[in-house]
Amino acid sequence: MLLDVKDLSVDFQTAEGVLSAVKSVSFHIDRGETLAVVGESGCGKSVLALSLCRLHNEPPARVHGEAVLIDGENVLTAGPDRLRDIRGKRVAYIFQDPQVSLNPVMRVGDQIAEALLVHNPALTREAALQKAIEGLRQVKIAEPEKRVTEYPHQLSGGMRQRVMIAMAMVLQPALLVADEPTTALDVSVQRQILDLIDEKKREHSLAVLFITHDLSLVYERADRLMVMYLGRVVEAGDTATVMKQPHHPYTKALLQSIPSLTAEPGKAFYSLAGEVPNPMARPKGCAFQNRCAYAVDHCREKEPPLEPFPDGRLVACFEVKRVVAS
Amino acid sequence: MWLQVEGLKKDFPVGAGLFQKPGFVHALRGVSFGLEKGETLAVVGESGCGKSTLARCLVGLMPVTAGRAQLGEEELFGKTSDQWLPLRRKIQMVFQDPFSSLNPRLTIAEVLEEPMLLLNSHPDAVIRAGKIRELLEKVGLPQTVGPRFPHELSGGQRQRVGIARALAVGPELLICDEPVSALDVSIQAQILNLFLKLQKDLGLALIFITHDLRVAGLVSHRVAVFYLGEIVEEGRTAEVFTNPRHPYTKSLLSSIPRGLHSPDLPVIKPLEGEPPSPVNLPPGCAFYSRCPQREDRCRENNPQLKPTSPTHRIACWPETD
Repeated sequence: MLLDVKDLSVDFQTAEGVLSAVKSVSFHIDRGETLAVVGESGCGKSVLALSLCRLHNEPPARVHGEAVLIDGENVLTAGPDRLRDIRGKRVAYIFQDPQVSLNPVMRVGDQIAEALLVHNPALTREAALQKAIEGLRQVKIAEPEKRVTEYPHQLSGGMRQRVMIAMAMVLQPALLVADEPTTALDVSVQRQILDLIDEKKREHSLAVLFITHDLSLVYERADRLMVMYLGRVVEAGDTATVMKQPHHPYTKALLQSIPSLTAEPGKAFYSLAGEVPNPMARPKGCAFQNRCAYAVDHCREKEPPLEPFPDGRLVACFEVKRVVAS
Repeated sequence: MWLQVEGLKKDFPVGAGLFQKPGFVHALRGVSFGLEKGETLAVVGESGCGKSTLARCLVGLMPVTAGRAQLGEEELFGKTSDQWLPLRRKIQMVFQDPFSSLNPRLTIAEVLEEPMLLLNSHPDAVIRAGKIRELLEKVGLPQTVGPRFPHELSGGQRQRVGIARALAVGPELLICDEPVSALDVSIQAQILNLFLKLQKDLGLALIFITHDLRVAGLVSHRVAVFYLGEIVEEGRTAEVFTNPRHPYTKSLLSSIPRGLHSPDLPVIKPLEGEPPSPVNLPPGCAFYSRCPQREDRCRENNPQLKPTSPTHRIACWPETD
């Protein structure tokens, strides 16, 4: 097991009080495996991703829980030197918008070389640049010798995301956290980038934490998935098992909200009513109750625990029987 | 056709730096299409294909370089902004980002009242107040949002306000530029259903610009696929999506993630590269550099739209000859 997260919570101290962004989340990822974290804005998926390397400013953030083990090393108790080593060398990140993640006034080659030099002080600048060129070739950028001398604005969106992947991969991390890596890209480029990530995963038995709001990508790309709602995991399991028959009403609603290409034109399709509650005013009981078609009195009283099912999945819902039956 | 657009061109000058020759971004390179009353045309394509420029030209937010457009009896292009005013009662626009397209200093009621005041469509204040209540109800917002400010609303609610504002003066044609792209999936589904309902209730014609083919499939009767400022394929949505003819449309459809919901389209090799720069394009077909079916003649001559059936047109030499 490469990454083992046990009962992780992230709170933020705000002017209005404590905002609980991630609540008691546990999961693991093996080498060569892709785990997708799915949910809508504000569900805590990005906060969770950043907390794996303690990338939040603490305070206002408070990252706490039992353990976040990367190859057995606990990130929650690691000192600054160890954290620096884990960030980049063990765990690398790529983000949604390569435009803002790259330094606009630095040549892309220098940016990749910088990552290498920070972690290997013995390396010369020339050697680092050579590795940067090799890195760009690995992500299938044409004429890498020429591209290393260019600035981010000279590259297209897809190319910039390739540079981000090259930068993430040069240090040969064990875990790649991809936070909405293709949301800002066109569909034809999206497929190229996801194919590239899949290829790196196979070549290096890389573990991938794939964060997305798009369930249709998950079906194609992830081995397992974890659906989050308002900071908690509501359903988790094998991708095919969960998506073929979702047990949580939210997972089911998300799947039904994907427009189908072959829908009858003009015909209304299913949509989930209401919106996600304010995390500062979390309702008593289940957080999904106000939008749930299956909610009963019990759901407004008690928060359902995440419980295992015979097919291996975990679901946090009291009314699974009715959800499955309908 | 009720709306008829012919040979629409829009160039933007660029460059002209110290060491650079001035050039033109050819954002729209001769676009022609028609739209019937109460019909929805989806305009799909990737970033930079000219879809948003098309929207802006059609609502008179920017002058066109060439071409003409008629809505009923009325010419749309070549008008001064004063001459545009009466037309705005017929054509309204819904923008992508409900965060930046609402004035943060106006309450929701004021946002909805503004177009009625500007176009003097409802001179009586009492009638305007009634109209605002009616608009809020139409788009599914509670009356309590009237005195509130945009920052107090969620993204989905703000987009509902954007739609209500467009409906305030009773338009016949709504131009929607990526109206659901900034929204979460569950909220996106709500707003798409709202569009479907409004169209049915009000008989609106919609030009619905989106990069998401699944959204286009859901809302539109016809679809126009754009590539670098031109329509490469146009036709009845069901026909185009089940029997795509242009190689670009085929690859776009094939790029849609194979989910539980996708149709049984053949998976073809993904496109390589990205669209070329729209500055000073070469003479032939703009898709030449990425096309798996290219032939020599495609490099020399740009294909024009040709019908392959009474309701389906494509611009492609190998596919039409």
